[in-house]
Amino acid sequence: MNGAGGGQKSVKALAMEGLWTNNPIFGQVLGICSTLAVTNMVMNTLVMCAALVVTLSMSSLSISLLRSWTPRNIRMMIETLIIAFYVIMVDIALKAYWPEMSQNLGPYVGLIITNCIVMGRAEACANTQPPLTALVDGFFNGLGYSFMLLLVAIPRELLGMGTIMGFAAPYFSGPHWDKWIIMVMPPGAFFMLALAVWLFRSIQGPQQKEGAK
Amino acid sequence: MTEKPAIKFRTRRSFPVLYMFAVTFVATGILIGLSRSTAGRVEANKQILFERAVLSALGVDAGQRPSPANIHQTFLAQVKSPTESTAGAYRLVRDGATAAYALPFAGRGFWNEIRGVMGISPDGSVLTGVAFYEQSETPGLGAEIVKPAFTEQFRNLKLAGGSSALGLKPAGTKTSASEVDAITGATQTCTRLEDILNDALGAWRREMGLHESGGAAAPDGSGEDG
Repeated sequence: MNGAGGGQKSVKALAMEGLWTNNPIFGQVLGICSTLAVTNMVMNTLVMCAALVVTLSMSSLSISLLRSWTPRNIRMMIETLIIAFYVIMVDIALKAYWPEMSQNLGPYVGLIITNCIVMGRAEACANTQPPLTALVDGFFNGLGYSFMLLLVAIPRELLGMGTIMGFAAPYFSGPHWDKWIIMVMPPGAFFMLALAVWLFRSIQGPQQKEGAK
Repeated sequence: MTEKPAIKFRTRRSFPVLYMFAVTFVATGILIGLSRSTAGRVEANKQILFERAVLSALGVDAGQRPSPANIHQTFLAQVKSPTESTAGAYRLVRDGATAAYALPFAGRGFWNEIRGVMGISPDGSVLTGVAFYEQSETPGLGAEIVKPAFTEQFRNLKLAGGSSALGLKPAGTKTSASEVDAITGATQTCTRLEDILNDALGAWRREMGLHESGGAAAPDGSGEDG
């Protein structure tokens, strides 16, 4: 649907696409796995989003730089390799300089390698577009993913634990609020994600249909 | 990388293989270098996490918001490494006498290994504390075991005799002094943790010959399950 499109797109157009019209979560519906997994604590979500933005931007840039050299038949191997390269870098950096967070996120950082958004952007954009376009596209797709994740994470932590980023929130941490433990458990992620996707798709509904036709 | 080979070279059948090899070589080379250069730091971080857990389990205060260096110095100054006679436990030495033991334990949690340290009074009847230094339980649920709200319950917890020295019970249902509140929504983690702690405590007390001791009088005969 997107991809090789003719001339270079402006930064504004790319931002609009990544954040809104073609948002990775509710537009392309990619990367849902990690959306469900890391969104019960806002702090973990933030670090995960930062890691994804870095990985996505850098791997898109690198794949785009190598695009005219890479033989088509092995391009996916190269893409996976480059993605894994950046993910392991992030993982090493966290282990060395932020061990607590590295422990909190457990295996999730490593699993960015299998996050479909990264591979999706590599195939849809970085493969055919010049480096700068690919970098900007990766960055805004990362941000589009991030804002949706935060939107899912904030209510989950607030309703489930009565805190935001570990700080007690007024009312919700008090005795009048019976914590909805289910919000921090896996089912809570499905509820929140479905609501968020529903909401955003309803808002942008009409344009989406036109695009599809 | 810098030379510009003729297009012919890129259409050769061996080119994809060579290309893949070259890219892999460069990428892994950089990663190995990076991992080597931070290996010392990563190792030190792990050591500090462990030492912090030992100090915390023993209830030793390393100062307000201790730096890694502070933790390490306090650990070296007050804690002695395990010997044959301590059955694998570290010793907190105060005025030449053993003030408490710190026993490392490990076992399978819900997702992965849980590793921690528990502090035990010299006669094996009271816990001075429990601290964890490695776990990958579910964030927000099982992972809450590392929070003070949970671990502080083990501070000066009187242990029962026998093989189930302590219990993790659903909040509000504890009946004896050796029980603490489990975490709601983390039943699996808590059941397993209860076993891990009791197994480690039981084995250690047997080896130390402290089997029968305990805050509550052990029931007649052996407290072990049949």
